[in-house]
Amino acid sequence: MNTIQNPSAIAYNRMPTITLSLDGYVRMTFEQFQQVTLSHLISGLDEDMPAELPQGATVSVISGYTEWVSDTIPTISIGWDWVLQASHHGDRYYQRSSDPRSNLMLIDAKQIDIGPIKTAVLLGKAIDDFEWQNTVEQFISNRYAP
Amino acid sequence: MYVIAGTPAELPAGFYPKVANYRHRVFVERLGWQLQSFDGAEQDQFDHDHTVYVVSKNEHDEITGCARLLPTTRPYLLGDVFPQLLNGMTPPHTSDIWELSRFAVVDFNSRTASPLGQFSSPIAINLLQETIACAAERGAKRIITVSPVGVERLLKRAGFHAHRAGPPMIIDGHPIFACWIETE
Repeated sequence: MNTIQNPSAIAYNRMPTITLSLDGYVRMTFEQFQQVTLSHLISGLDEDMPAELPQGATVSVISGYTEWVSDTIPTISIGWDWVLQASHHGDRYYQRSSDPRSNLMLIDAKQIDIGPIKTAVLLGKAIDDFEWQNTVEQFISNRYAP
Repeated sequence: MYVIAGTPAELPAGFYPKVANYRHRVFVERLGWQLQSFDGAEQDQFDHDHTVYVVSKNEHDEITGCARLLPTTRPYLLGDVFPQLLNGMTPPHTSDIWELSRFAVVDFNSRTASPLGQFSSPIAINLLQETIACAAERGAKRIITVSPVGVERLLKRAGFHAHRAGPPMIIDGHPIFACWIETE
């Protein structure tokens, strides 16, 4: 899986023709998915926080979501949650905190669905193997800058 | 919490205006959505005699959540306003697919009530389950919903087989999307 940080960038598309199934899924093998170029769409902070915090209280965990899209037609859409973690050195880093959510159903070599759970596991591994954190950090910084 | 469900004619007398007022308070006043609202009542062309409402109330008889169900055999929000959320698919028009929209869970009497955090509470899960069961009772085998992306987390947490139909659209800085929910 490749990424581009500039959504307007043009990526060379080596994908075979893909179609949208009647149930709304885009189906492909994991090997085909690894050729897909994903672009960042939007990221945000979680808004599942109380409207009113008790006086003096602070939010101790920073978490949010991020959404990415493919350059294919039909579009593949993948989103996941993240938390901002502190390293032993005091640095902060973004870590995926949920299974990916997508419109993708991975299939095996016999064109049979591997199921939503296995699909999410494989997509999760693919996400963890590419560098999305800097893009999200930059977007979050710009979006929520005071 | 208990739930009331039905078309306007099936709801208790005088109840529908309270639902419309609740929607106004959540979507217009709290969330700032640009929706048509008149005299404290939020409603649009998809609120009609065939629309089914699922509404949760607390022990004080106050509304704490709402959802709107529309058969896709009649005009509905996704088909008429947001068909692009279907990723190129033709909007369905069949009796076994219903649309869920205007889902909200906010208890205005709770100090911690946040309309933006509405997708994480047990009430939200309960109302979602009741809403999907209500649609299934009326013939739905699948539900398509137009919602903020936070609903997807709620669906997963509640154990439903659901997946997005395509990429989100950004409206007023917030992503909304279409999501398929299987009722069987």
